[in-house]
Amino acid sequence: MKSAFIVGLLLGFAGLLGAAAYPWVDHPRISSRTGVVANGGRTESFVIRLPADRILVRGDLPAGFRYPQQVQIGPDFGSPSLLAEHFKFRDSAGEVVGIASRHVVRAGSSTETAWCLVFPGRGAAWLVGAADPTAPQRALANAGYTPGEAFSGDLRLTIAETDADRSGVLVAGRQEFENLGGDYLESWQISGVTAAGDMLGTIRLDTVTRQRR
Amino acid sequence: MRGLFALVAGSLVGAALASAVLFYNPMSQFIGKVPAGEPLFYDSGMPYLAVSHSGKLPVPLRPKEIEPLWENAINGAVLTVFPINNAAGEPVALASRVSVLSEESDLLLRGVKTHNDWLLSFAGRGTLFIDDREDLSELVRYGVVPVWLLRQPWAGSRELLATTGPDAGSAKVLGGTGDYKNAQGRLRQRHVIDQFGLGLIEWSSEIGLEVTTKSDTGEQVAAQR
Repeated sequence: MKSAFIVGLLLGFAGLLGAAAYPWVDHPRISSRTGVVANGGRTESFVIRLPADRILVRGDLPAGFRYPQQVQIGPDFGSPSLLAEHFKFRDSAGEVVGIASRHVVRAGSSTETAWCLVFPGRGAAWLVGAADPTAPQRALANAGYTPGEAFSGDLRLTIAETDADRSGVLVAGRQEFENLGGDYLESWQISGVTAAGDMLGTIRLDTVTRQRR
Repeated sequence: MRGLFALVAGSLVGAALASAVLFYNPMSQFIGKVPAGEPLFYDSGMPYLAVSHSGKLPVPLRPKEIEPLWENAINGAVLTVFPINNAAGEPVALASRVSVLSEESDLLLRGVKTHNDWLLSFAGRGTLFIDDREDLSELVRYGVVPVWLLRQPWAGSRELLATTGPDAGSAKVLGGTGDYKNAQGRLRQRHVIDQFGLGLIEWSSEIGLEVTTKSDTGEQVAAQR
């Protein structure tokens, strides 16, 4: 009986420590839907569906659309200069693959957008690009949208750098995106606005990435 | 029969001893450092602090109207959005941080590690990109085990110096926009947990941030913050 107790003790001790040493974190890995560019690099597109993929907006620059609608946007930094938006984003097949943060900061005469795309199973990518936070509202106003009323249409706009066919560049990454460079194009397709003020449409990020040398 | 009983009893005692080893495991002790650089502050009582996760963690979503991260690929992530104050208590920045458990984590050798990917924007100046790794083994030891498993909330003042990397005990500034174009630097955090209960954590955090910016030619032109 004494030897059985000692064997049990060793088994219990080793078993629990063995279980504790097991790497138990394993994020779901969704296959990357990438294409190959003829002159090198790979393409990958991500889509944000509005309003379903919105998480939260914060800041003191005019956001146009508040979400969640009941929540104050704030904080007030004194001189409006910052807008932070957060979305879920999807691959080209429509499956949610990550969380996107987008900060627009007005610094002096220039305004830039910073994106952080986090893919829990793959890593993270940081992008810098052109900013035009009121472009969707201007496009809607030009198309006859009146706040407080429902609107439907098919508006398309691209947020691009001046004299360039891209919105910005990939500047840093983690894990799968480490040592990658490249650029991206941000385009919007707006199909309407509900009477409650929710924008309907998609934001699309088309990326082209390649290994840094 | 008595042999089987002895085997089971031995297993339970062995598992209890192993649990004690894990709880006091010296191999997953914190290796972080006290923040350096100009201090910045945020805490759990701040207005406009927002937290979203799968909805299954014992920490409430905030605000309650925020969209939860319930989808399969992202339900292990936590999004935290918070204003940051300077030493005078004025809001100067806004941070968006997405945290995911690192796949390097275990409970014996490496500890409970997280990847935290930040956008940290200073009003009127620009945005910093930050790759931050933390070791939350202490939080598990003194938070998850007594509170969530043993249901014993506590109040006090427990310091947590959790920043471990990727830059030798510091989070790494990878770049930025505006005034922080081509920025390099590091960030460390010190958290103080004052109360830890089911669905309630009161804490305050101090950030030490050191940033230098370089011109496009590589010349160092300014030290920020």
